[in-house]
Amino acid sequence: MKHNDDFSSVQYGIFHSQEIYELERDLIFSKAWTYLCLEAEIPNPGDFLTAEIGDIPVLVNRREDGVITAFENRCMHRGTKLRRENRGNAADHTCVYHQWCYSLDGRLTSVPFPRGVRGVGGLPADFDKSKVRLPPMRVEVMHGVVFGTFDPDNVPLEEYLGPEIVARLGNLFFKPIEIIGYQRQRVFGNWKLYNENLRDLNHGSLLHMFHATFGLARPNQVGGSMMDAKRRHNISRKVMGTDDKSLTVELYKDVKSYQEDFVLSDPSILKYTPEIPHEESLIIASVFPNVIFQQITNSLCSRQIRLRGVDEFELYWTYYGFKDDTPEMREHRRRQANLVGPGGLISMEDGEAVQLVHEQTRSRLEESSQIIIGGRGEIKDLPVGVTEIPVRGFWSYYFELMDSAQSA
Amino acid sequence: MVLARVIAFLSAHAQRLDVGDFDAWMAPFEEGATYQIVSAENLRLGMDMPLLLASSKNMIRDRILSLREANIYNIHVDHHVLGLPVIEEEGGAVLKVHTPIVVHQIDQDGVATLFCVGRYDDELVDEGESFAIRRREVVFENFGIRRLLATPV
Repeated sequence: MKHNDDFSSVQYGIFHSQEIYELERDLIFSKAWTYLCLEAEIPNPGDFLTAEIGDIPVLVNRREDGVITAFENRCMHRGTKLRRENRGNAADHTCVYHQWCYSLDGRLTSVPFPRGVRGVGGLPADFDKSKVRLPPMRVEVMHGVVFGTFDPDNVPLEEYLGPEIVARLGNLFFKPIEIIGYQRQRVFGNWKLYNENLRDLNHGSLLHMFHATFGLARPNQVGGSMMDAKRRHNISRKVMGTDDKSLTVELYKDVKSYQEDFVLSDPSILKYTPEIPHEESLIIASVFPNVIFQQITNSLCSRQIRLRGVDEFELYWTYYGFKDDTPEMREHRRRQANLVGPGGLISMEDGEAVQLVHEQTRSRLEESSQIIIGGRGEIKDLPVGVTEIPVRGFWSYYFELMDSAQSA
Repeated sequence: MVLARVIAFLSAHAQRLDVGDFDAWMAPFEEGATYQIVSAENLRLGMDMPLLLASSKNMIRDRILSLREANIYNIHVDHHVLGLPVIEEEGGAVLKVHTPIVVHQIDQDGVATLFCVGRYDDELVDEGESFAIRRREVVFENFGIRRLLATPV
């Protein structure tokens, strides 16, 4: 797929190719550190949940000794889905088809009728049960966030995340959390379009009228982008209340989506009680390739991208609060569900925007986008929101993984 | 008979959404009404994070205003089909009613897509002439929301 040197021009065909989709599974999702879950979702020994990394089904559980392990959710006999339930608690995992039983460490512990009937049938004589295990992920936990990688030679998680992301996770998860619920959203477009959307600070103040009118995100607020050294991760940040009103009106004078006179009858969802130990009121921290950590005032969650083919992905939203939330704060977080998620007054447009691009580019695979807001050339952070440079950062790392492996 | 009156009220009310008459749809909600949309997944897990929550009629007003003036969402027409309501206990001033629903969305090219299978869990105030809605919880059994949730269900 064609792109230019500074990734300000990327071919639309990249969103529609089955061949590239298969390569992404091998070169990206089978190699990178990927988000599995939050530790608080599996607090007790035996707790398990299933997830997809890209579209690779994995099973994550907490071992008897408290350590979190993860492996492919596929029986090593003939490929059956091993753990069928999405979540639960179990002492082991037994395949329904032929009852092969695996420990919480992913190791095969028993097979029925191993010696057949009076020595006829059963397992072959050279079968060594101790050598059979579910393909494991290396698991590390950072500030209560569980990541895994299928690549045994990968760098440590801390190095992969980089100091900017590690610091932010430390802030977003600075005290014990409690899971308060899930949302799932099916979006009909390629997963990379969503990664573009997240790193595109510019659209936040334009597509999402709610952001602009109520000052949750305006281009002239203190904030901007903060990428890691490899430009693959990005933190979009804003500090509420730091914009100049007259400058806001001036900037928006030709923009339809800004409505100065739009007043809410019940503005309680906009209330912001600062609680996170950093100055920002808005953080969208995207970690390549499959997760975003969100703070939109008091609405806190992770969004995992689960692939469902070239044309579709599921956004899996995991909302949390802090264990010491007052009932008022917990109710406030519930109300702020109105801002985000599939029904979010802010975020509903992202689902639509991704689909609009996916549909319209399908018939012109040779054409390219123009990723130019914020400037061309160097991939660098700007202290303002009128930038989509982190989108070029995403592509720079994406093509580093895809191009180097293909030429190797 | 109260079931017949409940059926008449619920079916007329749902059709207002299908023709996009949000003001008429909003009218029977009490000022202090709760209207929320929840996923069956969270219900079964005992978690109370909703998909959409209005804990007052003002919040319903705000959502309608936002849809009209601000939000960008898929161009479509909604189509509600209600199953038969079940009234928990007759005789009181406030009725608890459970009604299965199916909602399709039809796009500009006339293609219909299933959007919701679920139910209304309602508290309806019997005002004699008609009903007021004190509380409506819309449960999405199909909680993998297709694309986005914009127009009320």
